[in-house]
Amino acid sequence: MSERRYDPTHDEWVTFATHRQDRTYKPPADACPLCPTRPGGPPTEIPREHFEITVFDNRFPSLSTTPPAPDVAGTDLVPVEPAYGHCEVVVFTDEHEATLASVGIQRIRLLVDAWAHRFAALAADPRVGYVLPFENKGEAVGVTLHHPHGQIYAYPDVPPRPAREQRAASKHRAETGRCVFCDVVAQETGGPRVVVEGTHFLAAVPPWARFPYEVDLWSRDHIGTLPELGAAARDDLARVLARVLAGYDSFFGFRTSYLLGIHSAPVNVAADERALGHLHLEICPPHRGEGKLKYLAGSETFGGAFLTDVAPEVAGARLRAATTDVEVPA
Amino acid sequence: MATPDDEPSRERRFPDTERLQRDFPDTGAPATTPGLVVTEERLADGRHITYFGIAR
Repeated sequence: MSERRYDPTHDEWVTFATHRQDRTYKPPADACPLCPTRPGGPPTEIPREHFEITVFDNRFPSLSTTPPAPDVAGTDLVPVEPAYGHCEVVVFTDEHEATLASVGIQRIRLLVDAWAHRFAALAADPRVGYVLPFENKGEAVGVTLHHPHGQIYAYPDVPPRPAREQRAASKHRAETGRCVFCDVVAQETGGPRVVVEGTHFLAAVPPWARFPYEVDLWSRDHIGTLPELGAAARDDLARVLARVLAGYDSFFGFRTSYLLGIHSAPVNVAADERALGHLHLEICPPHRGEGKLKYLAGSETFGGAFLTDVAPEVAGARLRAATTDVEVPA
Repeated sequence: MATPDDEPSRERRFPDTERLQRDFPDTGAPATTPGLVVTEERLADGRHITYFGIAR
């Protein structure tokens, strides 16, 4: 089964991809499908001995360009449709034990190029409405393959959270004539929640942080998508992101688990709708301290209302201190 | 007639300026990364795979 069903009570789609139950689950290191194929070793997903960054179609996709017909018939109330879209795997390095925090600024810079390239390629599909690169890192967030990697989903429409961002941006623009993210960058620059100040990107704990140590990286310029970033901005994004990730590991004292997502302008939409988008990254570690995790409990799950145990100003100061002197691999 | 997808391997320099300007017409000067090499291939089962590297 690979289909989408519409929830008319919340005005959103839910995807069912039951074949993913059979996907590779926490294989031992010598059977990692994301490692390169070594001479004499078992074939992996990547038929090369060495690589820097590799992107390929997910063997177990939630969305597909050739989805099967739905298993159940939809109704006027609850439409059902094939789960169209793209799911790609982005492997950051051929080193199994590395992390994005350890690969260095140059590799992250190459990753920015890879993200931008794939974004443009996926956005060229007129049936795609939104492209979301993301990384799920660490067992604390449910990762099933430990080899450092991320994913890119290309949805047939704008998913709920980015859609809410679009609505908020539209409301703010109607009220002020300005971009809400540009106003946030102006307000937060030099403030108590700043973690890393780059020339093109600002990393800070947002005043509304949903996770105790959430850090957002906002483009200082009003840029909607990754392909629109110039070379200097890509350089800066790599430097800022590398420092934030290294700072997390330094602050927590272990390899930090997190969810990282890149929000962009929707694609294949009208120019005025696209102009509302403002490129930014959100990084959400589930940790609130050593051995303590932030769970999505009753208020978050049923109310959609996040409760956070650490003041963003305190988190910002702690992470700023951790990132200031941390050694960042080149 | 062969299509780009029929080619077993394609290597080209990034950025693909023509494609970027077509898909993102309001993009300014596209980023340039010296030495960036993008190689697109097909896996045995037909899935796409793309390698990104820096020529040294």
